[in-house]
Formats: sequence, C-alpha cells, structure tokens
Amino acid sequence: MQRFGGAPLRHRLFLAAVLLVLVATVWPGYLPAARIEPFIFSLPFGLAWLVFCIACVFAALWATYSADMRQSRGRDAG
Amino acid sequence: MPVELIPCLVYLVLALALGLAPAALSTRSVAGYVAGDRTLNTLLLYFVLGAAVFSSFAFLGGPGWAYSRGAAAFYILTYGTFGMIPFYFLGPRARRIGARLGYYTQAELVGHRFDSRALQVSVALLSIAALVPYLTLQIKGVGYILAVASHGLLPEWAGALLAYGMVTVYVLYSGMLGVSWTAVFMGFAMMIIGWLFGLYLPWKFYGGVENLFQALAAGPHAAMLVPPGLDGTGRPWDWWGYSSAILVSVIGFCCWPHFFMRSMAAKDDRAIKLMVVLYPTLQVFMVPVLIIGFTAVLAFPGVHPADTVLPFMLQHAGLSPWLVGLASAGTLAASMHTGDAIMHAAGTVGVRDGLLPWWPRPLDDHRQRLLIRVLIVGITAVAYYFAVVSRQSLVSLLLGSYGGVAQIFPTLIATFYWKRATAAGATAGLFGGILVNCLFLFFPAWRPVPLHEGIYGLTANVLLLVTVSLLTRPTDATRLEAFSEPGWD
Repeated sequence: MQRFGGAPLRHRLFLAAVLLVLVATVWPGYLPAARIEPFIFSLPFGLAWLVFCIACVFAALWATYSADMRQSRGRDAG
Repeated sequence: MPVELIPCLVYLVLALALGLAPAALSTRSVAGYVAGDRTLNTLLLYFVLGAAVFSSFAFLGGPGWAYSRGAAAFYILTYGTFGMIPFYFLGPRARRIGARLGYYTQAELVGHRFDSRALQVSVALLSIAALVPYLTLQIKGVGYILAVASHGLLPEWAGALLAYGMVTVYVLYSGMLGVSWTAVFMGFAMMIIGWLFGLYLPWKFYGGVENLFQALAAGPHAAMLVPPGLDGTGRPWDWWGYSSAILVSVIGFCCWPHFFMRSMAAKDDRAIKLMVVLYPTLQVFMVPVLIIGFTAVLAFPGVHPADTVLPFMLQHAGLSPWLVGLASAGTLAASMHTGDAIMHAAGTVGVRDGLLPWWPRPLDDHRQRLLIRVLIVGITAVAYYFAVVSRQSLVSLLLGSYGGVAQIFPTLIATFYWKRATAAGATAGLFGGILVNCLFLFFPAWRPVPLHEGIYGLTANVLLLVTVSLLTRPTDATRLEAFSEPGWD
C-alpha cells in the first residue's frame, strides 16, 4: 500500500492538469465560456468549450499512458 | 406487422445470437461466468464500461434534459469525462489483488482489507439497492419504446418481457462474455444511430446544426443555451447546483459495482489503462444526442414529460417508418446494454457478498454459478414487477442510491491508499455519509447552501472515516500485506 505522496512526478502532473481542466468546466472556471457566441463548429461557445476540454483530458491521459508504458517497458528490459 | 417493428426485431435476434455465441469460449467455472476468465481486452472493456454512457438515459433522458433544461444537460458531458479517471489508478490495483486473492467484486476487496464481513455486506446491500431501480428504469424504457414502435400492438408489459426475456437467456447462458460481446454490437449500433439522428433532425427542421442553435439564440429560449441552463422549474439554474452535481457524479462514477468489478475481468493492467484513456471519446457521442433534444424545443413545444421527447418526435415528425424503427432499435440497444451488465453484476454481488460470507461451508464452483443464475432471475423479476406492474415511484429511491454509491468512494481510496484506515472508521464514514446524504435529499431546505446533498454526505463521510480510524486500533499489518505493492498505480 502506497500513499499519494509516493506518486511519481508524471502522475502528479497528470492529476494537476486534470484538476485544472475540471475547474474550467465548473464554477468559476467555466464562467468566461458560459455564453452562446461565437459559434464554433456550428456549436454554441459553451458547448464547444466542453468538447475542447474533453479533448484536453484525452491528450493528458494519452501522454500519461504513453509515459507509463515506456516506463514499464524499460523496467521489463532492465 | 408495423414496418417500424422490423428493425427492432432484427436487432433483438442479432443481440440474442451474439449473446449466446461466446458461451463456448469461457470455462464452466465461477471465473468464466463472472469475469470471462479474466481475459477481457481493451475493446471489450471500453464497450462494457460504456454502459454508463449508453443507457436508456442516453436516448430518453439526455434529449429530455436538453429539451427542458437546455445547457444544464452539458453536465452529462463533463461528469462522464472525469468520472473514469480514478479508475486509471484504482482499476489495475484492484485487478492484481483480485487475481491474487480470487476475488471478483469491490465488496470482497473492501471486506478483506478491513477484515469486516459487516462492511462487505453493507457495500453489497448498497450496491443492490442502487442497481435494482436502475434496472427498473432500463426495463421501463424498453417497454415504452416497443409500444411506440408497434403502434400499441405490443403493450408495454409484453415488449419489456420479450426484450428482457432474451437478455435473461443470454446472460444466464454466457455470463460475462455474453454481456461484453453484445456490448460491442450495441455500442456501435448506438453510436451510428445517435450521430445519424443528431445530424439529420436539425437538417430536416432547420437546415443544419448551426441554424438550429441560431434560431434558438434569436428566440425567447436564448437563456437555456447559456450554462448552467435551467432548473427543473424552468428558472435559471444556479452555479452551486450545477457544479456540485458534476462533482458528486464524478466521484460516484467508478464506484458503481457493475463498473468497478470489471477490473477483475480485465486481461492485464494495460487493457484497463488504455480503456480509461479512450473513455472520453464516448462522451463525444453525447453531443448529437443533446442536439436531438435541442431540435425539439422550437419544433415540438410543450411535450410532457420531457423524457418522452424523442419517441414523440419519432411519432410526429413525419419520418420514414424505417427511420423510426432504426431509432427505436437504437433505444433498445441503449437500454439492454446497461440492463444486462446490471443483472450480471447484481447476481454476482448478491451471491459473492450477500450469501457466501454467511454460508456455513464452502460452496463449489457449480453451486455458486447456479446460485448466481437463480439470483439474476430473481432480481430481474423484481425489477420487471416494478417496471410494469407497480405504480410506485422509484425516482426518490434512485436519487438516494446515486448519492449513496458515491459514498463508497472514500472507502475505496482508503482500501488502497491509507494504511491507518480501520473497519470502524470505514463503517462510520459509509453510514454517516449515507445518512447525511438522505437527510438533505429529503429535506433540501435544511442545506446551508444549495449544494448537491452528496457533497454534504461526502464531507461527513471523510470526517468520520479519518476521525474514527485514528481513534481505533490499526488494522493487523499481515492483512494489509496483500494490498502493499511497490509503485503507486
């Protein structure tokens, strides 16, 4: 059993990034984007903003996963 | 026979065939029936856990929310995106420990970690209390949509019986692999049908998606497009309610037993992690579903209840009967995709956590599988009764159980990451959290600020978990060994 303090740096960075995006989708981070115009990809701005946030979470997850896989391959090889 | 019914029947036959086919691939053991012999790859996990997105709620509730509450429905996109992230860390740990100790449910892990049969049974009871109303809603959705598609030829009770009779057959016969193979088929069917209608309906009524939103923005409904949208009474929703509903849903998301126990079915850590990475792509599917609801605001005002807006549009939009049949098949897929996973999980949890801890002697594989199957039939029959016979409202029970499931989260975190947590602390936290949650659910006026009741429950939960754990004797170190692993994830 490991405590959160034992998390590797890439996981801490990942959690920090995810928290930042989460704040951008609720009060108060969502306030500047809570409007209709401009329309982006035919969607009102508030909705397009959330699609952008989903893309950011996906990118953060992908980066962490790739790093984790590199790490475990390195461990296996070593 | 109405033309609309043909795509539905074709879909049902395909689902049944796909549900029965994989039975030959798993062993005739508890591991085979409950966890597909721990062989699920990323694709199967992705669609099995997609049940959270692809439920009756997606095709009926999602458009209903967009139709009646506007941007408030955006919260669905947000919580699903973040809710699976804890699973990136918890899932692989649960899988490894489960495989080592021979466990299949989250309550078994919690019970072992805290050396507490009472805690295991409490988590199991909470799980089943949450799953039965959830299953009831899925069965109701199927009965309703088949009644619409058949022009009343199939009454709601008969439609629900036909569809869930088929689901019961393949869940009993093929277990986990049946649930996962059909999940892939149903998931693809829903994605295609969702996108098709999300783009076609705005084009038919407004000439395109942007025209739809511009028409809404120019009219008296402009306020509904501005987050956080409207509340249940049609007035602007407050940010407290919107933000805290997201937080509680994010926290509760991966605690649902029919999700968490799938970590035990995964073939390796990589399959779980990659599934979590891909999970946000499922949320993008909800965008066209919400657009369907927005399309109806100007085209079909005054539909009540709002959850029936999609079937109402299908009946009154002058669409080809084949298209109506296709959309109905998509809704069937949505309901059955979640329904079969719930039935399978509820039966497993009921036997592994509710019966086995009290059973006087060890049960062999054959008897365990038999008991799980009997319980699946029992639980489905109860849910069917509530769906078509009983007129009792399940909404409050469902709402209470949603908040209740989120209360498992602190216990899960403590199970894996906090050595000092004790059985007394976890039990006090769980029950204290549920109590506070229910108190503010039934007496909302007592809340100091209009936050979601689950936030108050979680605060009480964590305070009790920490305080009582620190005041009681630490758990025996040898028991914690199974949970001690190098690395964090």
